[in-house]
Amino acid sequence: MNADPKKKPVTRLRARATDSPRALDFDTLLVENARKIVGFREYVKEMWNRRGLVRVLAGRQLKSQYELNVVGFAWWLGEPLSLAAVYYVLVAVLTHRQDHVYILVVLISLLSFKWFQQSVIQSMQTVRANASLVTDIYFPRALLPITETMIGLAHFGVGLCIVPVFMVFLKVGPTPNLIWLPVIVAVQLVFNLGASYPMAVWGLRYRNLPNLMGNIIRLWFYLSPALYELTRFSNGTVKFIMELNPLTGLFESYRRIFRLAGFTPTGLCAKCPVVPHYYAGAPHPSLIWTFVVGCLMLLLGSWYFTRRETQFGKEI
Amino acid sequence: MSKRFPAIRAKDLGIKFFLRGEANPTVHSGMVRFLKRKPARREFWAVRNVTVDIMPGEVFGIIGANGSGKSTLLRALARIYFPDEGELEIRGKISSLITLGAGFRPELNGLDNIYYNGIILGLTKQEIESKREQIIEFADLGQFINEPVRTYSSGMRARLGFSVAVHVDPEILIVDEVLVVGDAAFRKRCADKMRELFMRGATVVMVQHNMDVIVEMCQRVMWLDKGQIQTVGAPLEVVNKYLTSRNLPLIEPKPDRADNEVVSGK
Repeated sequence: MNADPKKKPVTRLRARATDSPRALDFDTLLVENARKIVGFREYVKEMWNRRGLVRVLAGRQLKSQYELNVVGFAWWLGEPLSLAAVYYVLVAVLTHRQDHVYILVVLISLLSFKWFQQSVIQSMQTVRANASLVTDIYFPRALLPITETMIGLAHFGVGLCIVPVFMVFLKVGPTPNLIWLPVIVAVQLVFNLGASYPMAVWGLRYRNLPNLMGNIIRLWFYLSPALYELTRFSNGTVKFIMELNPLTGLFESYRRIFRLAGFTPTGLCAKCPVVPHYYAGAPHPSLIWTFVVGCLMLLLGSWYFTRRETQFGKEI
Repeated sequence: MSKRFPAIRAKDLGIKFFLRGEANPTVHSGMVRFLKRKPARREFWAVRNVTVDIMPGEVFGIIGANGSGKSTLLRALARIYFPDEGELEIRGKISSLITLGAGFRPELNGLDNIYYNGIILGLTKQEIESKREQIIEFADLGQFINEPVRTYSSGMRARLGFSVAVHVDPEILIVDEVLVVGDAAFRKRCADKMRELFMRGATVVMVQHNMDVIVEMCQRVMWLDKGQIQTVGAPLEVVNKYLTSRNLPLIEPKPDRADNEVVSGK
């Protein structure tokens, strides 16, 4: 071998020492208790080196999911649209709403929620779905939940493309506040990832957990101000509790920047305060809370994930 | 001779599994277990106390009966299983050929799968572009390269998988019994390609049940028995010890081994 052996990347894997004192060197920043004694920095570097894998895995999945259909990319729009139609019929028609802008509210909330739901549920199944990779090839497994979140982001992005059509049609003008969109998307990205990491571990361990989580997440969706709005609640305590829900910040913020914050909730609740029409605004303050929760979850979740990851090959 | 670092150094390596005694752990079975305070699992050491240095450029064989921990050890060396005990040090770019065509998507065509598989195995996009022709030629699938992989026979799939994997140009290649696939002609080509790899100085660790191949290709052989090292040493000697213990006919030393081309043999 002509390359200088000293220059080759060296990987040291060391089981957690039970009796002998652990050697502490600075290359090996420890993820303690982790059994994962590839240094954390090294791990992140490795993830960065293999980042192409995220694109490839996501691209492969999207391609095999959509290319076989003749309608191809149109299919992407079909899903959120049909779902929005379902909710629109369910809420607007059944309650005799005259307010057609409501469909836009439903659509935006649903797109955001779908992304969250998809990240979490798919992450729970991602390790098993990629079993042939996980048992045969080494790569940083932390890339798998990222892949699922990115696939969700792609769906979200495509879904957002139909929003302007509705905005024109329903005469809801765009506002300068739309520049906040990347910020909200970034916050949701962090939050989704944070939720995905622990779920990926538990989803692998308990096969039937995804079914249960599907229902829990749907319940969470109805408990969040997605199909209705936060201003419905005049009671301070209830409102406070609602604002503790990290999804609140997301749904409210998306609506506000799309100028839909004050959509009139007639038909849902007669006593609701009617706010002047569709005012625009900056993201809802509780978005900060969502971000904080998301960061905490991401830190703890990825730590937990890298700790458990070493056993994935055996658990499958 | 300058100081050489081993490509792979294992020290007291141990891999354990948990036997759960239930096929599919579920949420409720977890709760039941918790309520009954039953221990969830029993541990089982598939590999233990394995200490070995594999030098760069060495072709290292692992033999042993079924269930002796060969594949587990191989997976540990490929970083798929993390050491539960001891230490493992790996120097260089590693590629594992444990199942051919890991991560193939059956609904995508051969070309797409070459691309995806290449990235998964650690190639960059440019590297795949430059090696693409070689990979296609080596796999020798003709027009089928444009067909979805689900239409392939298992031999064709294996050929495509092997073709991508050997073109990764790894410094350390971990091979688990994959040479048995394909027809004789393809096996011959595989063997040639692997020989080319270790001519270039790649380290190869392989598991084989075909003792002729082991004696032919390896420079050192480890006999693994119930997860423990039984012997490490010269191929013929170790293989014959192993065969003796199992009451199988021994392998005759071949005087013309150096220029013997028959790897693909039976």
